[in-house]
Amino acid sequence: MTDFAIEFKKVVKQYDDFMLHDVSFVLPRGCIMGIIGENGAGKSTMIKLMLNLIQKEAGKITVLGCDSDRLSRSVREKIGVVFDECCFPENLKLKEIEKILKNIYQHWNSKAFKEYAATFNLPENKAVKDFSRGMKMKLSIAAALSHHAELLILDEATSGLDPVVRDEILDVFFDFIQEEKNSILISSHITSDLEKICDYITFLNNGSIIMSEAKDDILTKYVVVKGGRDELESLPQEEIIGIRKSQFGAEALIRRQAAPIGFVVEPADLEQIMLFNIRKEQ
Amino acid sequence: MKVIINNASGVPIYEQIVLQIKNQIIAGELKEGEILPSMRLLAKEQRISVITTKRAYEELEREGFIYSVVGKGSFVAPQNIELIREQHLREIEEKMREIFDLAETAGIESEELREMLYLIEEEKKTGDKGNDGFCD
Amino acid sequence: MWGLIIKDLYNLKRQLALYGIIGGVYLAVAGVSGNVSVFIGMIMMFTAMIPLSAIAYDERAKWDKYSLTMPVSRKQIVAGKYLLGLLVLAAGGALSLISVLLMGSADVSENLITVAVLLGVCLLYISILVPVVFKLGTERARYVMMIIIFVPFLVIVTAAKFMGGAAAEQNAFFLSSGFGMADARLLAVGFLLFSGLMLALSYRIAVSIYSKREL
Repeated sequence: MTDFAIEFKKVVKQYDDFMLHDVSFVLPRGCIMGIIGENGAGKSTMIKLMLNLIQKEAGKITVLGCDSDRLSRSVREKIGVVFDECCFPENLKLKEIEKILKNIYQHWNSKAFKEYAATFNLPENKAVKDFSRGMKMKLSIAAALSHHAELLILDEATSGLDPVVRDEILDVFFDFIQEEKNSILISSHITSDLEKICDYITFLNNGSIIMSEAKDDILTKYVVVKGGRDELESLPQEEIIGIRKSQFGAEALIRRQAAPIGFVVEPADLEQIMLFNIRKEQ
Repeated sequence: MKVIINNASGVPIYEQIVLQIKNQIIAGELKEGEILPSMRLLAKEQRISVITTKRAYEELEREGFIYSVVGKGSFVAPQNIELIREQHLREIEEKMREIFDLAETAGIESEELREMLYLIEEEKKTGDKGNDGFCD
Repeated sequence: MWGLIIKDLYNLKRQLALYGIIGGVYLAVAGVSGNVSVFIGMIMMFTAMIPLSAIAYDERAKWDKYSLTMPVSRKQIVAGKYLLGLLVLAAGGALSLISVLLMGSADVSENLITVAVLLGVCLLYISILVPVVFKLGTERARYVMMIIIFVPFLVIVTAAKFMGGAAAEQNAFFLSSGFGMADARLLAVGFLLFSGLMLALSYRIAVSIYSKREL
């Protein structure tokens, strides 16, 4: 058994109008990784690649120790996936879904599914098409967590949910990760979701990885400096990641050790780090 | 065990955890042999990364405050209070030397330094009192 | 894989029920008129539609993408649709047979031939359309579907117009050449076997299409 839940090595995927360049990163077992980036940065493409929904042009992807091109049945048993839209056919009801999944997953846990359904307040007698977005998401999460998965993959699963539901779901994720062999990969363009729970952050922009590091390291690496426009322009340019000028002043994302004395210096959050980096690229 | 994390302080979270657990051990609030919450539980309850809690526990282990048993968890290590005190004294001495060095380069008299020390002490006292009142 | 088929049956429950009701009405009509061939044709057309509806539903719900993350292979997903088709066809065939035996008039064997030929037509229909739908997706496959249904229809209609005069002669020819019931039976069985082979071929093609499909 490897120490990595997911490993990408120089993965390339070419579309007509988009390309994933040489993507490499690892998600160590027992950890939560967040993939952040704009819409269209390549987050979903990466997730589809690791699940072998699409084929890569080059590189190597390993999921739970298995080459993604030949994901075995037993490995798929251990993966739970939640997509941004609910994937259950619209006419199905909770009980029917339970029966279906019981016939698909060898290690299906009916009790766990029923418990999740109860804690999430999922309606018994409604068809999926009458579920709210929050309910659909919770249903998908309940399904993903009820077959003894070791790896949870979530594609934009928490976007569009209200804060209370999001918070409930984050709790469920923390419970899942109490088991040391379990790992989570979650993509989102809402950085505040990920800021709370992730151990690692992979930041994707325009098909390339800008950074993939421990979240705490990223957060301590940068600070936001505020000051007058000319003051900030006088700072060493190579230390400035990005700068935003307004009529009355400017703020810049800068490496912590280069933070000058005599300026207003604030800790940077993930959103600022993402925005300043994208601005730099442009 | 009590851990309160301040997200706005700018002090890395793992350092905050290390400091707070260390203080509780030195103060005797955490007794020798007592089991600490698992890293994953602490991360869950505090809504922080497992890496952070892991780093904190590793730091505590390196400094000899706790020890880990594989499969069982982390426990408060037997403390040699004398040794800790000595270690702290040595650290303080080192920092004081730095202060004196800096004062010398800046041409600050030792009288002024004493004044400063006194002021800081006063400030700490009133600050702590305010804090205590707030917490209790 | 059973899970996949159960899923389709649950999801198509309403559609199946609707077909059942319509079928019931036709059955009643057949009972009164003593002519079961319309009922048989009806049942067969319905059953041939089922696997295509199932694929369309999957696509709309994005279940196709989702199911590929589960411990089922792409081959099993394709096989599931063919099995579903065979399952409902078998049910439809059985229903037709029963209706023929119970209320068909004297010409039971003629009706049996009708059942066999229609079964064959349905198998062919599934054989052609399922791979097309897997290749193009339901949306684009719809046009192909129309062509497949209407072109033979048009051909037959126009051919009938042109050959209207000749038909009587032809009929006489068949009769004089001694083309009897036994030959028709043989032809029907042969046709059924041929459609079965086509279905097997179609399955192989569909599997190879779906194994390369990007979702």
